[in-house]
Amino acid sequence: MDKLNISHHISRQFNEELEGVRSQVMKMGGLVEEQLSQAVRALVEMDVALARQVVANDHRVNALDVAIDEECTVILARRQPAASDLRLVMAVIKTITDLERIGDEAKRVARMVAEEMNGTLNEEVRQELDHMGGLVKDMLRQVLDAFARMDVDTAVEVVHADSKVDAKYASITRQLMTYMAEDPRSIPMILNIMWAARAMERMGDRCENIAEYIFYLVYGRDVRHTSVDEALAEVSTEQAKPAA
Amino acid sequence: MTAQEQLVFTAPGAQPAHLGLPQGTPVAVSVHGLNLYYGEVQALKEINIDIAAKQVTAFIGPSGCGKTTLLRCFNRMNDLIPSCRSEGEIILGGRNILEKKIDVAELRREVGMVFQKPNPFPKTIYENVAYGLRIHGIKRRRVLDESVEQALQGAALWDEVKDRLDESALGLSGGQQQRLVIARAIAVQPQVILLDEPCSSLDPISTLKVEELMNELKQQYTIVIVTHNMQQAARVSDRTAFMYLGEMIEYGETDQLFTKPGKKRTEDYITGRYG
Repeated sequence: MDKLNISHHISRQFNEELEGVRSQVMKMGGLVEEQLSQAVRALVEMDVALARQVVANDHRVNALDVAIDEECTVILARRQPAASDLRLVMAVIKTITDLERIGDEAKRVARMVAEEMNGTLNEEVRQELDHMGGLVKDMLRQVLDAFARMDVDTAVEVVHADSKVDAKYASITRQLMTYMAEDPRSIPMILNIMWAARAMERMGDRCENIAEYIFYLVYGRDVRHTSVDEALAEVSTEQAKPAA
Repeated sequence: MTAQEQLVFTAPGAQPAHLGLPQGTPVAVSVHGLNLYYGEVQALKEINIDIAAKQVTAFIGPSGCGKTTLLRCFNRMNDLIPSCRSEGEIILGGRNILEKKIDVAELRREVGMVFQKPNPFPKTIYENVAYGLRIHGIKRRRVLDESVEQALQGAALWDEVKDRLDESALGLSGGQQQRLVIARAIAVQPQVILLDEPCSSLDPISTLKVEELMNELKQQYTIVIVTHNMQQAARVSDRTAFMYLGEMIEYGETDQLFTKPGKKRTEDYITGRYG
């Protein structure tokens, strides 16, 4: 559903440029999804080979970041977009930054698995990390879906989902702290696990950011530092007025 | 004031609400129920709008939407078209300027106009600016000299012409001629300056100079500009009105209108989509 009617510019070239940028973002999103998914699996299964693959692939994410950014700059120079077109370009520029950071976090997790971690995870920790990884993967998939469809309702769900991720992170941290207290020799390994969990928590935050950009793109309201629910309520009230 | 303004939505067929200004904003011109006809054809439909004092207001819209027609109402230029007839009120300076008893010559001093093609008189630069003053009975050389200098300063032209005031105005470049015309308008101390696509025939640098000038002029005068160039409207104006087929579709703060317009029709026009 093309809520913003991105196509139908009188200038077909402009249409194509905007469509091009959008599909590049989806491509970058897909790549980051894969990186995230593989990084979590590498962590949970202590799969060093997979981890090394994730690290090696990070440059592809970065390359897309640079390419899309350049394309957006050209659009701004060439077209001086206004209104929804302008908000789309702004939203894309911000989204790719957050996607690139998610990619970095995935690489960080993978690097830890490949280089730092010795030993195995106990079953409880393994399951918790797997669960947390699953939550973050869902958030990313949902937010990319919301971006493709400019779906604010799904974006708002993603904003709410972040609190689950934060709660999960808090509970994992508590658990890990008890292990550290029980056996100080395990501290180096546990610290690495905590950094990995922290990386996932940050990925969740990044997904939340992207959801906020979607809100801005559709409604022209910046909800980064306000309550998205309040903003949504205000927008619904405005739209309920009879339109000409 | 950064709060989003309430956009007024009306049901089709209903009387459009008055497109006013945020509370406390001084009003220079207030239009009420303006309908204008060229013979049988209705060119303006129920225009209700307040123009803010000492701000730049831009009228934008596709060809034939009525923006120039509306502009020309503010100084009764449409009187020059025999088939033109209008109903409604335009309140300016405390009276309805559409009334028959209005002194139109005086109105046109109060409400100056700059056209698309610069139209300096075929006289000296000095005389172009002094002409209006002379008509109003100012004869003393020193007063004229001062007023001419002031006007040329105000139009950001003085430095370029101060050493050749006795030369023909027709020898100036297009951009300079346009600024001379502006000097001519401000010499007689108007309240409002109307500009009808003032930069259409100017090169990019002259255009930017005229735009910069508008930014200064609004300190003293109310400016209303009709423009086809949307980026110009976005750069230069404080408030923008979008018109379509004789109707006022949307009116608001320029930054708001160009980042998040309220009406789809406005959005379509400013983003270059099929109308």
